[in-house]
Amino acid sequence: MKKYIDMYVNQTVFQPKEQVDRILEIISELGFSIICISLDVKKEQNIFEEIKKKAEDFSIEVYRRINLSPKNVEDLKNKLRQFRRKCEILTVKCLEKKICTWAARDRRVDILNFPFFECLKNFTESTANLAVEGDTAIEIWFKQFLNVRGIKRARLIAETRRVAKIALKKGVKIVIDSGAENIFDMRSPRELGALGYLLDIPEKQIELTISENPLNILRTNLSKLSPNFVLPGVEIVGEEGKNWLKKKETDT
Amino acid sequence: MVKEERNRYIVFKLYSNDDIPLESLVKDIWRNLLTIYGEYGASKTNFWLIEYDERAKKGIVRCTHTTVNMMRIVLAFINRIAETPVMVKILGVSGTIKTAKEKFY
Repeated sequence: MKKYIDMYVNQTVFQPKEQVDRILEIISELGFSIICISLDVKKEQNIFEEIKKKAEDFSIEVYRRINLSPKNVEDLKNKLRQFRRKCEILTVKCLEKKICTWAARDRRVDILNFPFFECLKNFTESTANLAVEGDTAIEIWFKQFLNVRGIKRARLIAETRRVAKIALKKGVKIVIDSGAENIFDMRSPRELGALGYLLDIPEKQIELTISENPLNILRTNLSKLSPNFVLPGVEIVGEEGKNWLKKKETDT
Repeated sequence: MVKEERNRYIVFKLYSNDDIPLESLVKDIWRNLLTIYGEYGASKTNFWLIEYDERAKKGIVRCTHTTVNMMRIVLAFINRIAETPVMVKILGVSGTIKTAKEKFY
């Protein structure tokens, strides 16, 4: 069975705390088997662990996601160093062109996020080339389209369509997710995918944006976060390797 | 001979904290349909709300087979009906009302 992922669910979705079970039940009904919750690592660790534990009852896997909003490139570098190993998914909000360019080519960044309509202009063909080199995906989030109406929505659709067209042309991975702030902002995978029709994304690609692409990002990061990981393509396997790892840990 | 325009029946479920009256729901679907696709696009969909159960919050809408994805978008874009936050989930799409009811309703 195909696994569907919502890569962007805000922690506020799980408030009030008493309704966590009901919310997880709805997420399961929607058809998601994996969700990534955007958290503040320092503050919300306990809530995350609690949600993760409860989600096991609903056969939902929960992972951490951090959204970085760097002020400049230096700040981005510092934050990447600080947070990369603390979460499974790391995204950068491309508020400026420079930040967008730098984040696109950095292999530590998983997803480029465009929080405002104006930010979409930062994604150009040259940024797309860098994103392919850096194996960085771009994110289209559904909530953004619910927030606006009329002319603003029309312009947002047009600009996102342009970004999607460049991404498809250059081979940049696209991820469609909800960006939900409360449970009513969430949509089932098929509805998220339907947004792709509005953006002229081919049907085959739409299926990838809600399942394969996010799953591949997650798999790669999980293997990188594993203690057995040495380098891309090099892992410690078997009993001897584990013993060596234990010995190394006790030595240090 | 195959009909040029075949009907499709979309079964959906509403998630909301309050009850959603039929009139408000119809009004909001039309409003969304017209804002996203305009009068010309809306005319192509052959949209009609066939059935709506206010208690179960489930309903069936009709559209043409070429406009199913359009209707998916229209239903997905509904996030507030009469000031009540809502979420619409499509349970399934069928070619006849009978199968729609048997399989998804």
